[in-house]
Parts: sequence; structure tokens; C-alpha cells
Amino acid sequence: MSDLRRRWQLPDSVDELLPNEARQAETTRRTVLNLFKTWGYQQVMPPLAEFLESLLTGTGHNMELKTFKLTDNMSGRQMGVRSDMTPQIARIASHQLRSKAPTRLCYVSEVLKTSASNIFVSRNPIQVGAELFGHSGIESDIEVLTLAVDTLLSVGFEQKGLVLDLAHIGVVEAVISACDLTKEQQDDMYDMYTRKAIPELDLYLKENVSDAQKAAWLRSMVDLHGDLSVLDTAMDTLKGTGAEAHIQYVKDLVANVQTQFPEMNWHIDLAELRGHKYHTGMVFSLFDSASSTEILKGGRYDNIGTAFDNACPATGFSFDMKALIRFMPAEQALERILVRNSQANGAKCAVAELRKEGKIIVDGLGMSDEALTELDVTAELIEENGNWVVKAR
Amino acid sequence: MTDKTITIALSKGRILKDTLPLLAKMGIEIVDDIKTTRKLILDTNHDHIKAVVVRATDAPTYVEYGAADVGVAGKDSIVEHGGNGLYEMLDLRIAQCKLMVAEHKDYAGDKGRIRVATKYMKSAKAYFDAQGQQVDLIKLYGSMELAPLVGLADKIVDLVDTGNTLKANNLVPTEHIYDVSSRLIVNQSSMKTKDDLLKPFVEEFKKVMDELA
Repeated sequence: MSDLRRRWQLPDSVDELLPNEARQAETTRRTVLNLFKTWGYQQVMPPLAEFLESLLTGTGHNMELKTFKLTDNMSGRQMGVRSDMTPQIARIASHQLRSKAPTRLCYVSEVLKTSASNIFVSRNPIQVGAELFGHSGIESDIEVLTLAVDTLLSVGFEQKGLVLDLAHIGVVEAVISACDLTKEQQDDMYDMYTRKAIPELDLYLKENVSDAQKAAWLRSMVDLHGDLSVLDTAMDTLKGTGAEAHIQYVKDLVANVQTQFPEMNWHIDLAELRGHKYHTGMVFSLFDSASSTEILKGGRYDNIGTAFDNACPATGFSFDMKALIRFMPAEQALERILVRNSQANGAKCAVAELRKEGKIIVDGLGMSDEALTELDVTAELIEENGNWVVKAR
Repeated sequence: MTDKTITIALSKGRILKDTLPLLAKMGIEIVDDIKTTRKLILDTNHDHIKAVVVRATDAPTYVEYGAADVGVAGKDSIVEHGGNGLYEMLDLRIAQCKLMVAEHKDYAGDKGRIRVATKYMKSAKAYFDAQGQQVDLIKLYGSMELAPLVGLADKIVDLVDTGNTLKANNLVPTEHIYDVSSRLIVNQSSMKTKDDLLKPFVEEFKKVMDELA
């Protein structure tokens, strides 16, 4: 096929929002930013591209593979197009603002990835997030969890339709360090935990871990998922590993957030390790239970500021606006009013008045009825006895 | 929370034949006649459990995207798929075989870069990479054994069960890549949002497997 005939084509997994979706995304953006504002989160707008090493700070190899790269002709250095805004926000907090007080920042922008993580999301998601820097206690984690749930409630989700999946990276880390594994064995563990590859794990422990207690601890991690009772089970099973304090931390988080959202569903998965190279404390995801889809995720990542010479604790969350709007109830159609030809039929003043009131007036520009049938209008501005009135169509 | 259902993806063919008796031991039976029905989503004797029968290589894909919550798939299919978004929670010890490298019995030995014919591209690539062997892979969909005979490839990577097909074509298995058997796979998000149904299901399945061991 000639190139000419393919000019309409977008690259694989690159998408765009058409009017209805774009309107929903914009309404959602405003709602969410307003909510963030009332919690004291200030919006920032970092650049689309910046030096690669800043973008990849504190992130894993995966992020490097996901980042589009280009050479800066002015400095000769390599630049990257952001594939995740969190490092940019961390750079702003730890280097530009350097406040001793808690810094609360939020952001909404498109990012670009070299590959989509699955078929339901695009390579150019709109990332929306809120991050809280400069506080390392449970209070900031509670704030972030609460704000995350509030965010979804503010755009129309219901508590009972949400599942909050919660874990603490410290639990797995404590168990692994209590078992004196080599670096290579630790990586094997993380890999098997991520896949809950139980048959492989059983075989691996038989071949590599002779101490019965240690093997039992390592094996128990893949069963420590389910409802909140898992936390009590974990307290018993992992006694002596040093994970107890982290489990208690999760219990305290739950107790606190649960009072605020009594109808929300909870799930605990102590072997949940996505982003374990980056996160340092609690990690969480919010799922839409009807579609079993993850719509928002976050957690604590205290080490990221180190690279910017200003280690500061951090916790926060983000989500993809495009993925989110697929699960939101459809917005009500707006009333759009047709005026046949305002320039010719003397309706100019009436149209201007209505627009001042915020009404949507769509000019037909004098085109034929047939052409106008495709215009998405619900009413029409008609002249009746010398007055312009709006009639339903 | 009561309107939740779980959907099981079953791999067609040998795996399906061996999986049904296991499900029956758990008290789960497919109501529709699998051999004759044209329905694609099958009912079971439990209202909240449905089954879909799909190609073995597609089972991990159905489960990854949540089109099915759990599935039964060969380890080979899981490795080829990449395992993204899946938990591999149980070894069902059915449809067992080995993924192996085979060559002609008179093969003169590797000289530099070799050509390998296989359906299992990811497994073969990972294996030869780990061996430090540079290979060119040729993707074939069937009759791999033919490739060395007609000079298309130096070696093949294929599943070996009895080894009779290899022998009949003067091929010998030389290297063992990994053991294959069917696994119970679970969609990661389903495990988190439907754990009240899925956790007992997996535990029940494990009990059946433990009894058989």
C-alpha cells in the first residue's frame, strides 16, 4: 500500500480522545485538581523532556526501557521524553523547593512510553497524581490513602465498588533478610513472589534452603493474601523475622482509613512487589471491583531525593486518566442548541445573550437540513412572533 | 458481592481431557456436552462458575486480560506468553513432557552461528542466550522434525514426550531445557477483587492434587 493511503494511521498503542471522551477527561481533570487544591496540593508543570539521568533517577531498568530518548543539540547530552512524572515531581520537591515543611504537589500531563504495559492502555497515557514530600510517619501515608479514595469518590465511584489492595515492602524485605539469602537468591525470590509461582518456589526451597524455619517463612509469603484476617495470620507466621512492626503499621493504616470509608472492600497481599525497587514502605492499588481492573496505584518511596542531594521521604499516588474514564459512568449529554444561520437571520443578539448565560449555541452556517442531521444538537433557536426562543428538536 | 462469577479457561486437546477429571473431583462438572456443543461459554453445575475452551497457546492470554479469571495452561505456553499479569499457583502434573533441543544423529557439531527451528521462540532464545550460543531462530508452526532433514535448520527445539517421532526421523534429543506440565494460572487482578471465590477454589484444587500425590 502506498504511504499516502496510510496517513490516517496512528502508531500502535498511541491513542487520542474524541469529543465525548475528551469532555469527560477534562471534567474529571477539573474535579480532581479542585479536590487536590482543597487538600493543599499545589499543581506543577514540569517539562515534556529533560536530561535522561534526571528522569531515570531512583527508577529501575524498566523505566529506562520505557523512555524515548533524543540528543540535545545544544548540550550534546541525552534527553528523555518523560514516561512517568514522579521523578520530575521529586526533583522539583527536593531540589527546587527544598522546604522543611511538608511539600504537597500535584500534576496532570501526558507522558509517552516506548511500550504499553497491556492492551487496555495506551503508550501516551495522561498521568494524574499527587505526591507528599518531607514527612515519614504514618500520618502522611494515611493522608495519601484517604485522598486517593476521595479522588475516585469525587468522580463518581462508590465505596462498595472499590477494592483497596494494600501491602508493605518492608514485610518481604524483613523476611528475606532474616533468611540470609545471597543477592542472586533474593532476586529469584522476588521473581517467584511476583508470579506467586508456588510449584517453582516449593522446588526451589527444597533445593536451596535447608533451615526448616527459614523455608517456612519464605514459603508463607505467597499465601499471605486475602481479606484483613491475613494480617493476624502474618503476625503469627512471621514472628521472629522482624516484619512484625511493618505488619502492625499496615494494621494501623487499615484501622484509620477504614473508619472513613466503612463500605470499601479491602485486600491484603504481603507479597505484592510491583515497583519494589522503587518503593520503600506501604504500597497500594485501588481496583474497580466490577471490572476487576486496577485504576490507581501508589505508595511510599523515601529514597528518591538522595540523587538530588536532598533525601526526603515521599509518598503519593497516580493514575491514568484515559484508563479511568473507561470505568466512569457516562456523563449526561449537554444541551446543544442549533441556530440555522445567525449571520443571515438576525439572531446574532439572541445568540450572544444565550452564550453569555453559558448556553451552547451551534451555528448551522446555513447548510441544508440533510447536512445538519449529523450535527449533535438537542434544541433549536427559532423565531416566533419576532422573538427568538429555544425549542426542543 | 453475590453476583460474582469465575470463568475458567481450559486448553483444548490433551490438557482438557486430563483437566476434566480433576475438576470433577472438586465437584465441578461441565453441563454442556463439550464434544457436540457449539456454545463457547459453557455452564457448569455451579451457577457462579463458567468455562471457556480455548487453544492451549491462547489460555494465558485469556487469563492475562481477565477474559477468564483462572486457567489451565502448559508451562510452555506460559513461558512463551511471558507470564505478564499471571499467578502460577499450582502444578497439575498433567500433560507432562520436556522441552528439548534435538539434532540429526549424524550432526557434525556446531560451527559458529547455528540455525534452530522451533515453535517456542522465547524459550529457545532464553536457553541459547544462557548457553552463550549465537543462534538464528526459524519460527515453524508444526513438523519441526522435518527442518534438520531438509537442511532448513541445524537443530530444533520442541516438546518431547516418548521421543518416538524423533527416533523415526533419525533425530536425537541432546539438551533438556525445562520440564513441562500444566499449571493453574490466575489473573492477578481477579485474585485481588474476587479472593472470596478464588482463594477457596485454589485451595480446593490444591487439596485434590495433594490427595493424588
